[in-house]
Amino acid sequence: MTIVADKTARLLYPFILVFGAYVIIHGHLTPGGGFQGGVAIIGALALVYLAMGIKAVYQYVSLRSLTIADSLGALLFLLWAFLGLVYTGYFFGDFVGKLWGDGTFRSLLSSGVIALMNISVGIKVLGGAGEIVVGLVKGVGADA
Amino acid sequence: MRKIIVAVVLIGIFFYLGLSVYSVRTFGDPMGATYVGMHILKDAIGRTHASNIVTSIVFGYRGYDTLGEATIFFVAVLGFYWTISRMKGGKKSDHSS
Repeated sequence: MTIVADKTARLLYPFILVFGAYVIIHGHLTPGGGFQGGVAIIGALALVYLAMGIKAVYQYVSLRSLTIADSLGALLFLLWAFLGLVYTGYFFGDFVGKLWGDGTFRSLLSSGVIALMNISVGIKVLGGAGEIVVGLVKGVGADA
Repeated sequence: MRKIIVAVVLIGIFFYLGLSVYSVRTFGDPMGATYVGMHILKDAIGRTHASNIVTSIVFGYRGYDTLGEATIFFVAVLGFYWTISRMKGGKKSDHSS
């Protein structure tokens, strides 16, 4: 790509990463959530690929780390669900709210297990969408 | 005989689906089409303490849905990689043979 695209992508992609992390972490307070934030982070990855090529992508992430993120997010989500079963008696029960209280309304540490599930789904979608992007790029690049 | 049974069952299903049109609220009613939505709007903040009601529905009221959604995403990624690997393998075998 040209130097314009290269420099613009280098300038923009940290901001997109921070925005995606913000959308994930504040999913229970502001519009957005785990899915949207994870896809925004992978949007930064796709921008890096489009501007600088696949080698630049592999400098930042590997397929293995994305797979680990995917599986870790899914397992964390199930872990919160089963902890709810243990502590409240209901699958997906709000065990955080029962053990430590609900927190201040509209603060970051509120809404109990919803915030935890949001973050784990964010990690999971980040990993899954990243796997798809890297797999598509690698599948096209290996045959061409 | 089987076709007649299937036809009767389908007619019955669509008849009851058509009947349900009369039980929902008027189209464009700002209070929503069902009473469940009104109940969740009133009840969500008090029960889940999340100021984003959409997230409280997705992860609180409909956690099972989200679990299925995550599973579907996981299986979709698995199927994508299965397809990619088969595409590459097919090309390789064509090339060698």
